[in-house]
Amino acid sequence: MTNQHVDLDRIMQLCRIELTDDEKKTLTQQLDTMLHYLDQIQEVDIEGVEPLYHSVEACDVLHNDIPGENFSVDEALQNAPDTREHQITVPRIVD
Amino acid sequence: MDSLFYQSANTLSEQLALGKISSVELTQEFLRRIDTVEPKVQAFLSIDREKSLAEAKASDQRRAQKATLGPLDGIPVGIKDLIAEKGQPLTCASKILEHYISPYDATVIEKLHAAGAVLLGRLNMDEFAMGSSTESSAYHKTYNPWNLAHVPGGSGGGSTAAVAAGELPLALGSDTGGSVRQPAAYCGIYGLKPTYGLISRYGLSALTSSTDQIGPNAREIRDLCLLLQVLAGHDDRDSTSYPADIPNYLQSLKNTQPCRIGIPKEYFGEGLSAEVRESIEAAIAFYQQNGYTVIDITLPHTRYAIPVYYVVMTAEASSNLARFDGIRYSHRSTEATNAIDIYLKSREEGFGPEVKRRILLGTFALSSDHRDAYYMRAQRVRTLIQRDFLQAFQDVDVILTPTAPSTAFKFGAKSSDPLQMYLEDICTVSASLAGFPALAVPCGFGGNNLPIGFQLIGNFFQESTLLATAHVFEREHDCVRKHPEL
Repeated sequence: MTNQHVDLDRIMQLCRIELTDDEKKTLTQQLDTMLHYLDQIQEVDIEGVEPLYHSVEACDVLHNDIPGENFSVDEALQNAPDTREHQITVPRIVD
Repeated sequence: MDSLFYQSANTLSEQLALGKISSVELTQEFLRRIDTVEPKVQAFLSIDREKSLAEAKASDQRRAQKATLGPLDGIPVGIKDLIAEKGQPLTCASKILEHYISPYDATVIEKLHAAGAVLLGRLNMDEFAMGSSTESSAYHKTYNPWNLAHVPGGSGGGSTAAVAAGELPLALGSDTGGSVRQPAAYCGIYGLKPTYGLISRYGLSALTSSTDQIGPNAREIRDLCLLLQVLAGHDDRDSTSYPADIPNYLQSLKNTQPCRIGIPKEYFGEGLSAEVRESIEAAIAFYQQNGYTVIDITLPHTRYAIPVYYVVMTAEASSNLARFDGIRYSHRSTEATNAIDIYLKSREEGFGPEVKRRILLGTFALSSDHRDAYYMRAQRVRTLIQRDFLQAFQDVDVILTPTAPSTAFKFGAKSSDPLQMYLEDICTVSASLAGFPALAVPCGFGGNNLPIGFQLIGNFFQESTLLATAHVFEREHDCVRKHPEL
């Protein structure tokens, strides 16, 4: 067993999610409980075992580079929260 | 004779072909049924009546011109709300996508259009398909048509409740760790998770890319074949789509040659309710009496399937859901004053508690300090889980297990304990991790009028064997011909 604890502040920063103090309190406990459960995988002998990223044998995925139909700019931006002159607007990033 | 809305899709197709009913009349009948039962079941997130009736009218015009597009032409189908249909909402049952409208069709939607199906509406689910009860939908609960005090299962509870309640003959779901199968068992219908790669994922909102598969829900095996036939096939736009030969699934039902059925002891231990055990043992006895060879097998790494799944699933989901940043699409917080704030506050406001929990856990499993101990190790144990199955398939053709260890639970029974909810997937995650096809089959009823189901798991691309095996059971049992009273 690894006896790991989740450093919630660091993880929140990595995945860019803000939490209230109450949420943090609950989640710290829940994530530690889950981690303890997930730690069962630490007892398995995996010596010489390759990871399984693709369950079905991966095949050649190259295809010909043929231009196809695509979105118009308006279609591509129809779900953007804020746009101006066919561009997505964001707050100033560089002063 | 059942009401029109409980007729099979194949029967409705025949009636359309004979001119006994039009697609417009059929669609109107289902819309009336929805008006009647939807206040109780609440399976839909949105219904587009105008568009559905226009599609039905177009189908009738094709039929009048003798230009029908096949047996699905004019038949209503519902779509789980995480598959893109151009011009329709796609919320993933999340507030973060509350106002999102799909700008394109998923490949499966293109195929349904090409087959003439009438796409009636968008079906409820757990938020971003994270859950086993549809309780985590940000919009509303869906109720089990057999007993409204109980959940319909999840994450695709909207799809299965709608089909069980006669609101639709067919629906699409998506199955990442059991989301087509477990709710099918809870609602007394069929649900198929195909082999990974059989159906294109293009246009399916990605949760866990290495296990996500779109799958059909139906009340009868022949209907499942009808829908699967349209959906299956290679797609250039999905690099994990597999160029498999697609058989004629309806024809394959004619193969009634008894096969070898493996019974893995690990699925029949502690935690399996007495009524589910009894019902499944009766199904095993049925197969034995009908000439099937039943063989006891072992899948020794089964106990690690849930921990492996929740490492892999949360890791991939945390990565996939990073795209919801409030910048290009999805909810943007009005409280944000700088770019980082947009990410932090938009995601805080837009995601529900279960989604946040899984993103955090997955981010931990992928973080540099813990990646080897969790994500990489889980992927290696996953190999061992798949090897167990490949070993078993040396001796058996299909593996029979419960689909869920008990019948549908009451609302709130597990929502306060995330780990208990995760254990709901105990019978279904292994086939997802290993990529094998798996079919939920209704096989009886337990207490409180709640359905019970068993699961058939097959080797890669052996969907036909699963369907034929289930069909033999269906012909001799009337549980699939019962309907809930609503």
